[in-house]
Amino acid sequence: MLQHNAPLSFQAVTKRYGDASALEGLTLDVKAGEFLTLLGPSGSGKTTALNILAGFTQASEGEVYIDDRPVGALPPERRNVGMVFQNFALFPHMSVFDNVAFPLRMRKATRALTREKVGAALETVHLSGMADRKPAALSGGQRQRVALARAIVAAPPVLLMDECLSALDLKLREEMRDEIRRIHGTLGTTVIFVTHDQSEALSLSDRVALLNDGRLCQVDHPQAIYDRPATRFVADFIGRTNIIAREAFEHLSGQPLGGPYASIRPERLHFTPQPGDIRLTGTIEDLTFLGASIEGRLRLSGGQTGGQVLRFAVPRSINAACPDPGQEAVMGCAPADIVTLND
Amino acid sequence: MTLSQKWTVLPALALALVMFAVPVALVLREALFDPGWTLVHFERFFGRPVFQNVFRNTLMVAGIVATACLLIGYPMALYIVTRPARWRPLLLFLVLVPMWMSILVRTYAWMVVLGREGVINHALLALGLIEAPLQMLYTSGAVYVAMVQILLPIMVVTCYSAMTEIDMGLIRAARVCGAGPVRAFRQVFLPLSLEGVLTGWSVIFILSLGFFIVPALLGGRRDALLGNMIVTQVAQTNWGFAAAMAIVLLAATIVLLALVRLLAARFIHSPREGGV
Repeated sequence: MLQHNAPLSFQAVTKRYGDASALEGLTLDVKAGEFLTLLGPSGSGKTTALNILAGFTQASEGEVYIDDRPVGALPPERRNVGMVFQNFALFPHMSVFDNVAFPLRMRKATRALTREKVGAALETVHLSGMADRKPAALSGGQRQRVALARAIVAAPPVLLMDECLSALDLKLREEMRDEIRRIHGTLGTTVIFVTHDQSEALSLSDRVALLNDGRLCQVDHPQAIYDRPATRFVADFIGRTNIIAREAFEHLSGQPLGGPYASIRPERLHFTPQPGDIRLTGTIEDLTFLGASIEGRLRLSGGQTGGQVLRFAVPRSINAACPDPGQEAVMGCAPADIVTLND
Repeated sequence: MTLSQKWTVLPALALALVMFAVPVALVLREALFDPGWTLVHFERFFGRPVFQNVFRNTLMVAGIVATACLLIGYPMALYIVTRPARWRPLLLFLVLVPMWMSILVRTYAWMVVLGREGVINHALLALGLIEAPLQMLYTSGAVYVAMVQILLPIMVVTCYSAMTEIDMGLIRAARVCGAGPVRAFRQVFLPLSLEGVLTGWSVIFILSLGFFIVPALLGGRRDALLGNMIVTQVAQTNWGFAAAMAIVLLAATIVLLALVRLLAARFIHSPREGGV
């Protein structure tokens, strides 16, 4: 048997529905205590991966290991994972206490142990005093906390979260994001977090695994994935960027490019080109004043690149005024800030 | 409720008044005035054991039929609701097809099936399993079988619609929490489906109380229900006594269902409470 020494490992996991494949050869090792986010647009395979991991869906090929044990043949109830669902999936006919006690009762815990652990879990999510309420009597944020408490109460080695913040409004979402980070820090559980929201992914995760069309595009730390996207899709999906095709880039910079595309983040462009910088000449369009920064677009002029528009976001400086819309301008970009992308 | 909202319930109220309250009041008048104020019809009903036996028998038959429909209909509804979505309309359609035929036709069909010269006796004789035809027609069993067959689709549809309200994500949640399929069903699905079960049971119970064609055609002398008594009395133009029996039946139904609801309120939860 393979030994990965990882609490969780996907080995060439593939899921096909007829000819279409929802997930294609996902191989991914998750480290103990890691907060890993599966990020991707809808239909990218992230939910399929989670469903295979939880045991709701069978993989067509490949195997998932939890604590080095293959779990493909195990039903969900024997995988010992905790899960927070998108709509929380609290049992409406049970009190908060009974909802949180459910996983313990299924594991045949004694009454005393159940009481103690439910109390501790409710304390962890700051819901102590609410044990007798029914889910219907709780606010959205409180329901989210109950769902969290239920997922962690049996101390599973792996905690799954399926788009669990998307049902909340913006303010609550930010509050719960901090809450999830705090609980992860306290418990040290390995967390697999599924989302389509890149800001959630970047702010919460130790590592982000970006999926598209059923394939894993890149796995890396949030900053690395932002600074060094590997493919055109990653650069486009995470944050905003300018993508320049190779011919146009080589024409502009006079330098060869190691891949089909170059990516320049809008905030890497500036109006004070240094020696050695790549210089981009064009016309300013659409300036937007945002207080701390100014955003706008530069329509490149001349030759092969004519007409391509680059977004820029420059910090507002009192000394160096930004050119007005319609004016010609030269913007610079350090060679180190240019990322070569694969297709 | 605003004033305009109050006005919008008027048509429904008027309909209920015309279709229910007025007929009941007329029946009540018939039972209590013959022609002057009298309780003689009620005294007659409660004074004679034969009527009370029929009354008890009616409640019992209705209870047994409703329970049998539940025991058969619930698993059917569960089966349909757990099929892939594209199969469900067809399966429901098949359940409902028998309802296109009138109760009378279906009752005669059961006579053909259960009779001495009927389909079942023919088959059993031909197979050599019995030597003489079985007496199935004109028994209580025939009445139960036919009533259950006639009323079953209503139970299946009621249970089905209650089950579709249950978030199947809750079953997944129970599974992840460590419950096997049986425990997930017992602890989550079953409690949440009880409201629909109770509605179905009550509807079947009420409909059963009014049956008279089936016991008249398929049952023996002892299988007469209160409906048959009422028909007999009406045929003999004893309007007052027929009305009194109808009133007793209505009152008993209301009391029984109120009791059932009261009990249920303590133990049964709607799948609609909670959620997001």
